[in-house]
Amino acid sequence: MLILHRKKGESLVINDNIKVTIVDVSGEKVKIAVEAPKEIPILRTELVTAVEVNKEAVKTNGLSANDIKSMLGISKNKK
Amino acid sequence: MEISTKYFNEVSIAKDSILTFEKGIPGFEDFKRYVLINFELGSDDLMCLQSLDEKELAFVLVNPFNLKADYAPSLTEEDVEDLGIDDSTEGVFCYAICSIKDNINENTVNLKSPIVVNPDTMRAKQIVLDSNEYAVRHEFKQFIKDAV
Repeated sequence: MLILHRKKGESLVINDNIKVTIVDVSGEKVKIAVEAPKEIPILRTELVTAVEVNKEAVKTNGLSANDIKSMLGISKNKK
Repeated sequence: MEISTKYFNEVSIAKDSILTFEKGIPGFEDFKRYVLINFELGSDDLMCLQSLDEKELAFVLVNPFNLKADYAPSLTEEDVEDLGIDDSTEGVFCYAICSIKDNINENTVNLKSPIVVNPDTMRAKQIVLDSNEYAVRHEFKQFIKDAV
């Protein structure tokens, strides 16, 4: 892994077609601009995880509405 | 209009109950139109988020506040804009997606990226919370234990 220091306004280039620029730094937040060819997907890491979990969530292995109700019957578990 | 659903066969829905996810849902970006269907009439504790355009695309949602009374999701400026929230918006709904497994003990709930619905605009979005307090896979049984 390459770790380097960059200041506001500075940038770096990856593979001569992706440019990453530090637009702004304030407190704990860094604003980054990424210039890349359209076909290169750029996702926040949290979003990659969200995709994975969503794909998992739609797989319910043939359960019926009643199965789900009995498995997650939250209201029945409340006082 | 009639739609085919994953859990409830054919369901008749009102046109004004259609939710629009303008950016889709992560992993399913091509599908923008959904409806919410109650698993149990009159209770919004357990809901189904059903795609209008793909029968098999349906999420099981729970009310996260039932699981965690102090649940505190916060919206970013981008979320507010995407959902069309303004000064006249009285409130939004928030749901958490469940992953249901064969083994009931392995069921999880995603508190990190809830579904938020603005009932005024009927726009909806799966947001991603900044907080490290919430995870994408909380064990469901944990909350049931706490609730009893």
